[in-house]
Amino acid sequence: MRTALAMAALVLSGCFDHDHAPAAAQCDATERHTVQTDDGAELVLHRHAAPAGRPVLVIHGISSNHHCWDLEPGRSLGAYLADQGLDAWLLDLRGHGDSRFRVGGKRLRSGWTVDDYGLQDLPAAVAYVKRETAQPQVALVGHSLGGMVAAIYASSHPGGDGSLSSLVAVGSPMDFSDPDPLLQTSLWAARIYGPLLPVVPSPLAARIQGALPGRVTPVDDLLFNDLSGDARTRMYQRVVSPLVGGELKQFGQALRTGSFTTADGAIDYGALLGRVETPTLVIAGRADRVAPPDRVHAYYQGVGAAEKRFVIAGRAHGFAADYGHLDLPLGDHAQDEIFPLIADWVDRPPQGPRP
Amino acid sequence: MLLALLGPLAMAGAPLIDAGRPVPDAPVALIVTTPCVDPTAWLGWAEVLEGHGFDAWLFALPPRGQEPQDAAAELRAAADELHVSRGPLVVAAHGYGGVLALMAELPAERLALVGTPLGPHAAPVVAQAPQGPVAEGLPWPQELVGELPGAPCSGELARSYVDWATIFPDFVPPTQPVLLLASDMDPVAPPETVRRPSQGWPGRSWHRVGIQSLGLHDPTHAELLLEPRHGERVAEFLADGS
Repeated sequence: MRTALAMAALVLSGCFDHDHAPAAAQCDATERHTVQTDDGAELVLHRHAAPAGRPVLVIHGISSNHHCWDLEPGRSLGAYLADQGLDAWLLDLRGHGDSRFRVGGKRLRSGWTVDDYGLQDLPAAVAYVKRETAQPQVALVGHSLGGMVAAIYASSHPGGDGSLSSLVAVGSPMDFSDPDPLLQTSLWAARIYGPLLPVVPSPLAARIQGALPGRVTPVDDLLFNDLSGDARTRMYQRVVSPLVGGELKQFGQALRTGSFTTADGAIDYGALLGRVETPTLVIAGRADRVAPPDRVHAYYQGVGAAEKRFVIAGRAHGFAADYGHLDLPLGDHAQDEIFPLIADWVDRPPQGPRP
Repeated sequence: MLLALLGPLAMAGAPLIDAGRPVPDAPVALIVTTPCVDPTAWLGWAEVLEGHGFDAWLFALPPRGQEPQDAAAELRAAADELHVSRGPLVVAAHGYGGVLALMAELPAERLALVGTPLGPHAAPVVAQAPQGPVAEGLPWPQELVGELPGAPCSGELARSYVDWATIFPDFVPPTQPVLLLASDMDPVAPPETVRRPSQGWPGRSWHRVGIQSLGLHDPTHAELLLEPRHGERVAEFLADGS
């Protein structure tokens, strides 16, 4: 009886996964869609459907998955957007969450770079969402690496910018110059692990971290500042996906050169941002130690759009908290302060044709 | 009261005070903090600088009547006077004192700017513009800047600080070696107002203090001035450029 009541409550609340039995008190996407990329990746989109609404494609960050934007009721941008009448599609990039990469029928767990997310995964996902919704344009929302991937797509993929109605980058750095000691340490780790390990088992490390009391290690301080106890534990259990060596090498290169470039170093993505004419909202967290506002501001500065806005989520700017890196999508105040900013920005009609 | 606290030697005609004990033969380190901050807050730096072989002097403006350009001109005159009488000097500046130091184009061999913004804020920030000829302390909520003892200061200057969040005064980029210290949790000079505007300066040394530098916490604007380790970092740089 209790199970039946719980199921009914979840269905009524719109938190029912068509493919999976709902976990208690968790609110996964309502539909699951699979998309093939040209190079063999099998991507999964988790849709919080509002079929008449404008489509919004939501992308997670590095070593993360779609739960970063959909952890539980009250911490779900997908559910929030759907409540606002927007059609939210949460993407798992290749190798993350439910998405896979297969070549010749064999599943690979590494062997790609950040370039592939922007030049293979996003084009496939955007085309799929446009086709399914019969809409000419899609809004993109990306957290951290997800925002950087959105920049690759918008600036480098033929027709990418024209396929977008708006762009939101949340905690996405675009300036890696003057590396701070913490970044230098990351560079050192990237240099070691990048060539040695095709995949870093970060989910295991996260579960161990989640099992420890808060603040035992400095990891919590690096990742968030406004995430209450239970949500912290669930975040470490659900949000973390393996880190791929190709990503590490590319970020190591960014820290060496100060710029975010293609894996071969030939193209500086930051320099291409001027091509992006899509209206762009850039959000930074005041207490974000992964992507501090001065590094995120370069994204805002670089974008060529006439309509753009830069927001720093911090107490000095009128927010309830100084947001850390994961507070932006998951923090205790994200639903009240960050999600409305995003929803307001993406809820706009398709843009006219751009040259 | 002020002179009794800070030392007996005030230079005639200039708002300068020889802090701590006089060290007549030592090179001079001039401390420039934000007008609106109580002078007792400077004493820690003075002690540390003396420990590194400097004779520390303080620049102190009267609490009314200055526009920023006038204050910068007074600072320049005071520094010139010290330079003529005592030889080459170095400058340690905190907060908006650093902006005045840049506007003044001080004849310093080395310059340490701690919690000093170098450009307008990337997004609007919370600050209360004071009314009247005299302001009581900095125009920021104490819970944001930290426990920095305030002092009466010129209302014109304090209002300028609020304006500078959006329209920053012009200054010539310094050519001498400069140390830039900033904290992510300093609402007066967050790194987006320090690091990127200073890119391209010759002899620039960037240091983000706090967790990004493997520290335990991100200091507030007040802690940048009051925590001894930051004063040590400043003194080391001014002493040997490291």
